[in-house]
Amino acid sequence: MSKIAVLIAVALTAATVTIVGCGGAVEQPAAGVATQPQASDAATAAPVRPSPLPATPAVTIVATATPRPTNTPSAAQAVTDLGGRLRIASVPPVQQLVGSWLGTTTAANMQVRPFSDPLIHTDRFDGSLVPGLATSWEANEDGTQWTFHLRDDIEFQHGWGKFTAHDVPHSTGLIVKEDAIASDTGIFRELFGNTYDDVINNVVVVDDNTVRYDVQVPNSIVDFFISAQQGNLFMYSKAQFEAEGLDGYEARPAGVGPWQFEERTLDVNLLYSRVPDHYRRSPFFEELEWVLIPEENTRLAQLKTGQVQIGEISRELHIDAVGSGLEVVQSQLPSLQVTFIIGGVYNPEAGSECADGGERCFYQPDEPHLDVRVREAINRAINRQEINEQLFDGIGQPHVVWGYHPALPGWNSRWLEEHEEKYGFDPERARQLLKESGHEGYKVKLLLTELPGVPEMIPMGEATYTYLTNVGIDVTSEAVEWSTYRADYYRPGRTHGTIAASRGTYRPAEITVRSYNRSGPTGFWRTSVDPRTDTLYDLATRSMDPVVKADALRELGDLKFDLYSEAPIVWLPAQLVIDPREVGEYVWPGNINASFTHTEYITPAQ
Amino acid sequence: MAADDRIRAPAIAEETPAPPDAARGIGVGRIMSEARRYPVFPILLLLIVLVIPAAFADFIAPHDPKLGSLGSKLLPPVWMEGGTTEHLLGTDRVGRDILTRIMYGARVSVVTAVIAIFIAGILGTTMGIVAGYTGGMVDAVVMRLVDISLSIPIILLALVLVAAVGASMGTVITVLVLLMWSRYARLVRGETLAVRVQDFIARAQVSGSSHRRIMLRHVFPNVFNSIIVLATLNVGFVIILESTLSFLGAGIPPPQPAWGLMVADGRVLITSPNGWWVAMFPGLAIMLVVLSMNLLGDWLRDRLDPKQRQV
Repeated sequence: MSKIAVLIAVALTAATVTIVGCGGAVEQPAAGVATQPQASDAATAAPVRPSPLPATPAVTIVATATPRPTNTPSAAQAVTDLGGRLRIASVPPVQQLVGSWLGTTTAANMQVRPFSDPLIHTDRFDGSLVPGLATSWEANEDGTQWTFHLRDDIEFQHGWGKFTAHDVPHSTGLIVKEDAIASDTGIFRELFGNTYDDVINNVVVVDDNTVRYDVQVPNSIVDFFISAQQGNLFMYSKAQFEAEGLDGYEARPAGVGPWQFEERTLDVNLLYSRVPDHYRRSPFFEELEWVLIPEENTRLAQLKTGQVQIGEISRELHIDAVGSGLEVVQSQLPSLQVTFIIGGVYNPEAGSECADGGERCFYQPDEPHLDVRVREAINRAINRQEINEQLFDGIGQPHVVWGYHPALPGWNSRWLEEHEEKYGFDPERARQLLKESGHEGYKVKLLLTELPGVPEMIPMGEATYTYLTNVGIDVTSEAVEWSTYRADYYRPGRTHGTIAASRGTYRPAEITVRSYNRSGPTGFWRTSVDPRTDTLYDLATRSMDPVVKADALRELGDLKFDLYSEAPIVWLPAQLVIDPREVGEYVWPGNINASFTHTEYITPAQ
Repeated sequence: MAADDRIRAPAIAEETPAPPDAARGIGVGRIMSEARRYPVFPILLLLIVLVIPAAFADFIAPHDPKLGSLGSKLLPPVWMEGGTTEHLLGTDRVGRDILTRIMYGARVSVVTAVIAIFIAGILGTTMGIVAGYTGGMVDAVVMRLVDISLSIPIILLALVLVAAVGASMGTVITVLVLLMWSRYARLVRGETLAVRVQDFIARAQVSGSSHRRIMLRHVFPNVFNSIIVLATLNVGFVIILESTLSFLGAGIPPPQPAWGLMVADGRVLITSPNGWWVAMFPGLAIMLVVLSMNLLGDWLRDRLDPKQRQV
């Protein structure tokens, strides 16, 4: 018996030895399948053409009273035959809702926007603000009163009567309701009042076709918030509310959108039917169905077998999709910005008291990340080009200052010119900086988080684990749900010694700055590399002078860039996969966290 | 020697005496004959896939399990076009070596299984012996606890625990112990009920032995075989469950190389010709280990159960 055992051991050793012996750019987004738009067939003014870089959206100052076309038409829009049911396979939204105040902007834009409109619409090519229910709008000199002139020919669906100015304060009040958890609930409360009744008082019905927002704090981008790009303000029928209450909305919401809500089954689908003769654009399909499929491979299989015509498929499976005759299309705008947030960077003015009486909140003088050399080292350690090419298939655009884009107000071309010099991948320099700072080998917890729209966030975090380890940082990592990161780390000011990936959308820089860098109750992260942040932010958001505003934002961006406030990685477009045998053109801006909007403009293949 | 030691009736199965090696010779036929008598296949599999990698990962693993290079991401296995000998089983989405991660993942599985089974075994055995030997109210209480334990939806419990305290190996072990102790308690209690009515127990009581001593010295040795068999069969179950929890994000947190986590990491690519290996090989490792543990458990049961052996 013992000799048998010895023989077996020898055989195993040989196998083991065998094992041991084995030893141990940046591109512009593609044009997609969209054909270039042709001359307007309905516009009263020359249509705005898409440009290589998106035009600056109308987020600046007094919005024009000169209407632009409601949306830029294109040659593909000249279809004669309607399609049948357009089925889009999507990841189930975080909140399944028909009341826009009950979830995020992303969830509302997916589920509510088909059947109802915001006051101001967005152009599908460049994301700029274009007339919708409001034909024009203007603000007073100090930005405390915003007046909107409304169309007078709009009817609510399901026979709930005419859309008038009286529906606007009601719809706005829903956003600040006690149970509201909309993305813009906080900012709406700050601007228009804390309760439904406050809002009713502050949103004044001038006449049936004119409404005025009296803003409590001067704000230069109220039209942006009203446009639902950063919020959830869609028009609901006041008459239906008075007759049926919120239950009526849940059962059969009446909107003014191009689609009419028909039915939904939670976790399964949402179904809408076409509204003929819609004032903006009647859909090219008879019906629209969101098919909610959480599993990636199932969505792809449905696309391959023709059960859906459009699908949300991660980049990793695009090769398979294209190999099956499907096409990848992408949004017109760089809809998502991706970054790493360097934790613990709080100003002394932020205090160091914990709201819950615990220890280590906000400003801690021993925090290594307060040293600009450490923050530069982190930025130098990360190989952005490799991340873009290997994880994002090279579709990303350079991202140099978190929140800022060349097409948005406040941009400074110096940042891009100096980016390689100041942020270029240089592990040796990173090690040197850490040594000089005295924080060589300091401990960092890399929080692996994930948000919709960027499935690569976890692999990006894992790759960064390697980058940081390679320059001598003592990295541990922990996978945390976003809700945990929010509750345990950034909201209570306990991000010390952490680095976490985040993603934002394409929006005015001050929105991002407010969320991440502004101190006080209006901020979320409250990280700040310089005490001037708050002053500059206030100047930028309250001034109605575009020059003053842009200068303040630029100075704020300078601080963030020069002091390595964050570690921005890349700007990404939204992408989806279509079946070209069924779908002709889909052009959408993608600037609401990559949401798929403007479905009424999707054309069937001819 | 105490009186009760002399009268104890050992029930542990004894090996059939083997003839001296010299009288048997060592040839291929002899080896095959011996191999048929023992579960060589499962043991070999276990050694190759689980034990050796777990014990010697630091020495035999070709790469660091947590570090990778994006430039080497999704390299195919060595036998496929584009594969290299540097990464025998290919690389994952961030360029980490899959073979290395399977080796270190084996360590995670072994450590988790051993600790969980050990703690659950001690807890369950103690409760089972006490319940079976004492009877009455104690028995009733313990058995109701067992019933409660068996009714807990374990995946749900794991998700709740993870939400409360975070994902970690400690959380996984806690969940596994909470799930498994009752299985030992129920088995051991049943065996104890049969043992306690034996004559040698009555004699030990007459001779003045304490209850604690009787449970430890007379009852426990007689239920030990069953515990070993159950523990062996449980290893596969524990590995499956640990992998399931990790797959669901309620187990070992990334970037730790746990098999379930690796399968989860590669599930998006499972049908893709450009990445099927990311989930395939850790899945294969799980299957082979569980299969061999079950085969080994069956063999042990046959060997240690006197009734089975007589057949």
